Amino acid sequence: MELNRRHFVERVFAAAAAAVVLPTDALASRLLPRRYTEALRSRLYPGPLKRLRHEEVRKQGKWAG
Amino acid sequence: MNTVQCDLCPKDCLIAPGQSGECRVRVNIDGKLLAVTYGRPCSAHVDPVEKKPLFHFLPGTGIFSIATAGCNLHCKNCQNWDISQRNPEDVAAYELPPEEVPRVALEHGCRSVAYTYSEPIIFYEYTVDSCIRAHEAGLKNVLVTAGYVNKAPMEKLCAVADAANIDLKAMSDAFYRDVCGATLKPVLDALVVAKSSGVIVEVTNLVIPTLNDGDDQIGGLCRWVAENLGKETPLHFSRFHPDYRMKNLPPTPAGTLDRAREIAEAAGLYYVYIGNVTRRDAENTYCPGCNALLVERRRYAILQNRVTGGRCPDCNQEIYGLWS
Repeated sequence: MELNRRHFVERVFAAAAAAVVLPTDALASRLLPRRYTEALRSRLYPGPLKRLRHEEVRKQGKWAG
Repeated sequence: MNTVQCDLCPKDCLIAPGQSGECRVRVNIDGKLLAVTYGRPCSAHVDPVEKKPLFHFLPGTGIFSIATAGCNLHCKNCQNWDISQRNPEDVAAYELPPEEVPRVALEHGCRSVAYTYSEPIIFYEYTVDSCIRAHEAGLKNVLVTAGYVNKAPMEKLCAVADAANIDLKAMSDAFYRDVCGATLKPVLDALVVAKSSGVIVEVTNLVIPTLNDGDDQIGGLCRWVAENLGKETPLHFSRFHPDYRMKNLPPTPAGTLDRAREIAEAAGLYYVYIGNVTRRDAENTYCPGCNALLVERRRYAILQNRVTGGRCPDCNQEIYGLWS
């Protein structure tokens, strides 16, 4: 492709845009929060634990649903 | 940056280190999102499947029902607020990892597992992993949910679920915002995703006096269900009882529920039920082809079930659901 004045100007603009956008992108990846749909499976429960008693399981739940 | 964003539900919570999302159970620990109720249900019971309510899914069978603390909605009328609106720190839980769920279900003679009571969306990883284990053991999976979830995780859930009862609380975004702290559209999208994924979907609408009991609201909801989910989709109108932060309103008059059923039937829905109240014929299933009585129920008991091979024995009409 012949490098005429129009193509030269387009390349200068493209280079300038890249110079602005690329570092912004890199910066953004450090500043923006990491996004998760799936969470890690925790092995620790923050509340008290209780024993699963089969006579309790057999009873209908008191909650709706 | 150590803040994380949870993309599971439309709340898209930004969670600072040491804090949880609105659901109370998805916590940022050192820049990582942790599901702190994973494998730790606070409730584990055997219910009749009709209690979910599911009327078109293995009628008369027991269903092992589990829930953890927390919820991503904050409905002022929540009946299960003592587990859904509390922090896991304050709610005692069992150690029941996903691999143990099918064993307990089978020990109690159940044919399916329900992820219910609070909100299976917020214990998403536990639900998905347990569903996979349950399928491996030959059990079915049921979601009882408000359906407030983003599309991609809902699709993943539907791939491992067999049936769902999804609340459609009102056909009004203002209602969702004012009463539940949520929005309407994601719920409608979740309903469509579930139905189009082949999950057996039943819909519940809790009718609350003055808030969502207008003929236009109920009519709009019924037309939406008929047009977007299909006329075969069972619809349960449920009676409101004053609870939690909504004790200022009276229980729903039985006449309002009768009227809601008439509106739904006029919209063309085949299977319309009334729950939480004793009404004649309120919980029976009739054939949409010949109007024969197919399933007679009283509260959670099946008095007779004439559905044969998923069809009406009189006119051979296919009846929506999983019957055996």
